[in-house]
Amino acid sequence: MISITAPLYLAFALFIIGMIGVLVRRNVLIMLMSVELMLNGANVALIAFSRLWGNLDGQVFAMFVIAVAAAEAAVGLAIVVSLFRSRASADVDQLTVLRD
Amino acid sequence: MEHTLLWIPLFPLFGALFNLLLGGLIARTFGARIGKEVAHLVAIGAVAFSCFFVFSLVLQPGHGLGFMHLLQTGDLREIIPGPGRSGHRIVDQVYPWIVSGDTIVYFELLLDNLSGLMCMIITGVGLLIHIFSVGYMAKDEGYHRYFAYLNLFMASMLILVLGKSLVLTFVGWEGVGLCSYLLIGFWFTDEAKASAGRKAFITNRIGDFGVVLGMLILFAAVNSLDYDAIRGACASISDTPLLADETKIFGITAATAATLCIFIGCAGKSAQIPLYVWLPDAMAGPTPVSALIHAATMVTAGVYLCVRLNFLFALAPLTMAIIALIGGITAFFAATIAITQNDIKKVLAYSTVSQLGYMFLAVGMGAWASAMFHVMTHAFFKACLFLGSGAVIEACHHNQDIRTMGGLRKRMGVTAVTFLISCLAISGVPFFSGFFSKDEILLGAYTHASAWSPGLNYAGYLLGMAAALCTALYMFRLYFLTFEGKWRGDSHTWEHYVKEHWIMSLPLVVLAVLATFGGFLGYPHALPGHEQLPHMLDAWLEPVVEVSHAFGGEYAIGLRHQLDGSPMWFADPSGHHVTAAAEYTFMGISVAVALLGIGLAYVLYSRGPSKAAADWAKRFGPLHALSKGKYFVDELYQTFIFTPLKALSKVLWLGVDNALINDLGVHGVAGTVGITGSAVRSWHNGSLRRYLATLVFGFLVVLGAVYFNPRVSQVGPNVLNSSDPGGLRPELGGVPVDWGRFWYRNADPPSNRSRSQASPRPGVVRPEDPTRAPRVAPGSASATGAR
Repeated sequence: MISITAPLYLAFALFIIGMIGVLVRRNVLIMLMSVELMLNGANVALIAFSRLWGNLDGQVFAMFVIAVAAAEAAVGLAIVVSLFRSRASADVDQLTVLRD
Repeated sequence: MEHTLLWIPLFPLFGALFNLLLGGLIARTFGARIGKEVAHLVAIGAVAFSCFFVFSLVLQPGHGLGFMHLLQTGDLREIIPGPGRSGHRIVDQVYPWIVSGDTIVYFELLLDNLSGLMCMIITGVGLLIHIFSVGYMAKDEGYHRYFAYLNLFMASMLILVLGKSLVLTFVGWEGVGLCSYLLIGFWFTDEAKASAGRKAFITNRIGDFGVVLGMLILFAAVNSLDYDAIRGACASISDTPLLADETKIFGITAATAATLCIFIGCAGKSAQIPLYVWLPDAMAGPTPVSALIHAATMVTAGVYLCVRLNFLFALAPLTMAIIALIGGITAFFAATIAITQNDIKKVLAYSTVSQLGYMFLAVGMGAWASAMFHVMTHAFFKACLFLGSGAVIEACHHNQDIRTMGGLRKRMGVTAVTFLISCLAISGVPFFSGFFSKDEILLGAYTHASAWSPGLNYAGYLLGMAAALCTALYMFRLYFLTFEGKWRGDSHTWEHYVKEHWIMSLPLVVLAVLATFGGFLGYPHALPGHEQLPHMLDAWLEPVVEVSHAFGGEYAIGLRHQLDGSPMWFADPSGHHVTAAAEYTFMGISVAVALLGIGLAYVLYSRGPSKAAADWAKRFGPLHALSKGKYFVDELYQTFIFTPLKALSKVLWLGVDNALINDLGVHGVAGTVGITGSAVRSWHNGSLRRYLATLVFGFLVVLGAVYFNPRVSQVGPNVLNSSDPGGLRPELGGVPVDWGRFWYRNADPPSNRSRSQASPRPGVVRPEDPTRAPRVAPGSASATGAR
């Protein structure tokens, strides 16, 4: 039987990789993908705890997260596409029109 | 009909609502003439209905109060035959009005002998004044508004009188104050009249504050504001909570403190020193309003409240002494002011203040029935006088200065005769109503003694006598200057005077008849024919005042011979009443004083303002100036109260409101936010990655604060009930979590929180142990997911 720590380490690694991706990359598309990584890290943690408790709530919750992430990806990609069309770039450092 | 009494105030209330909501619409739709017809028909009809109700309830033959049939069928809620001769009461419990814990205040109306008497005066005189108003206000723009206010006043006054608890009475009390304000400032486009309304309202509010305080003190002591409950608490001197040490306030008994506070309210409402200043200014309102509100009904509310709470006042000898003294002084001083006034309504206003002083003199002496007797007779003759003055003002094209009148008897005979009758009544000429009531008060003042200050009754008697002399003088000065002698105004007004109209004369005649014969309700014991004509009012009010009479003699107020222990020469050895000889003596003095005043007025004013009058004024120069200037009380208030108050208000306005709240508070907060915002706006540079980095940093800080803060980490195990397995489902392979290890970084947690570590939870089976059935103990209800 796998102990609780192994999936948690996996979840932690996924989350941190995703977070670093969001922080260091400048391309919006890559940032979105990194956010998906972070969400999946959270999902792995949820499922691990669900198994630990013997309670299916966590798995159900993970399903919800996946559904919401799909919706979020759809919306986010649409935004990225329209951004790229208007600016011919997906570099977040240049997207500063909301500053003032 | 279930709620018999509720209809009494409800009819005028509906009338008021009708005229307020629909009056203007009707006038616009069907024209002004029909609008006025509808307005006064509704208003008068409403008052006539409640008048009919009151009279039929009170005057049922054979019974003191109440319909005989309703009594037997039990439709009336509660009938208690009192021990007195006519002590029936009708109680109408409408609904529980305020429910708060154990305290329930009912919306409950009470018609007993006292409120019945008041209701008869209010609805009877009120009906006549409504009728008079049709003539007086005929040409006014705000006709329906006027009748709406008048009806609203009737409703409030009836609630005041009928209320069975102080709370409900206070509702009516505030209601009549509001209506008084609305009607004084009825012609609100005139700044002086509008400010007279405000003055009345604010002065009354000062008094009302006293009533509220008194109510709170009473409630703290008795735990109820129902009149019957207070009466019960006052029933025995030895163990009443109102005299107990626990309820004392600054060493004063609760009874004294409460009555003093309530008397402040009565002084405001009933225009006694020092709060009388609003009443003379209240004459700015239409004259029928002065007759109804500022003479006959509203201003007697204070007297009514004192008599209603007579059992309470009888427990407070200090208050009684103060009331008697203030009443006597008010009676005298207001009468002296009235002598020199030239405005016909101002004379009557000060006369009202003076007569109210008499009533409070009677209250302070414990002569409750005499006070109510004077309330009644005063309502008759003063309403008649005011309505008469209204007719005069109408005839003289709204001129009110008696120096430019005279000889009006030839022009308006009915008004002159009724005015004369009322003057005779108020002056105390024998067998007119005022003679009986005023004489009873003066006699009571002489024979009753105060436990607080035994000599006080003599002072009260002398003040009352002096006031009686002034009363006869100023009333006949008014009569002579207005109706006798030669016309002193311009000839145009004399030629084109407004003729008397029957609708204005009819109420005058009825009131004059009442002013003439009303006194026979309180026919003195000494006079011949007493056997056939007993003192009805005494018998009528006996059930109301019997509690205070029961111990009044020994505690607060009593006949002097009882108090001193030695029979006085005027005391009838048989008991309660003074001897006939003494009564005749006092009557003789009263009559002599009244005739002296009338004679003086005749000499000085019967042919208009004579040279002798001017000489007298010169001889008493300073006194005359004082009286003419109304003792400069308004100016004193202006200097010592109004000006400092204004200065204080300015300090509060500029210092507290402007500087502290506005500048420092509101603008200060906004300014701080603005400055902080402009300081930190450089962070807001639009770089998404910077924002994200800040977010992550903040998240790490919070996480660290939680994890490294020992206080926060201790909360965890505490909130978890060790017997609560939470969402754990062992049957699905769940493993119990070792919360001690989870929360504590050190391996050895406090023993009291590590019970789950030391021993496995009951009913929870570790999954490594397949030999035991993975079941949850029965009784652990939350095991199946109470989460």
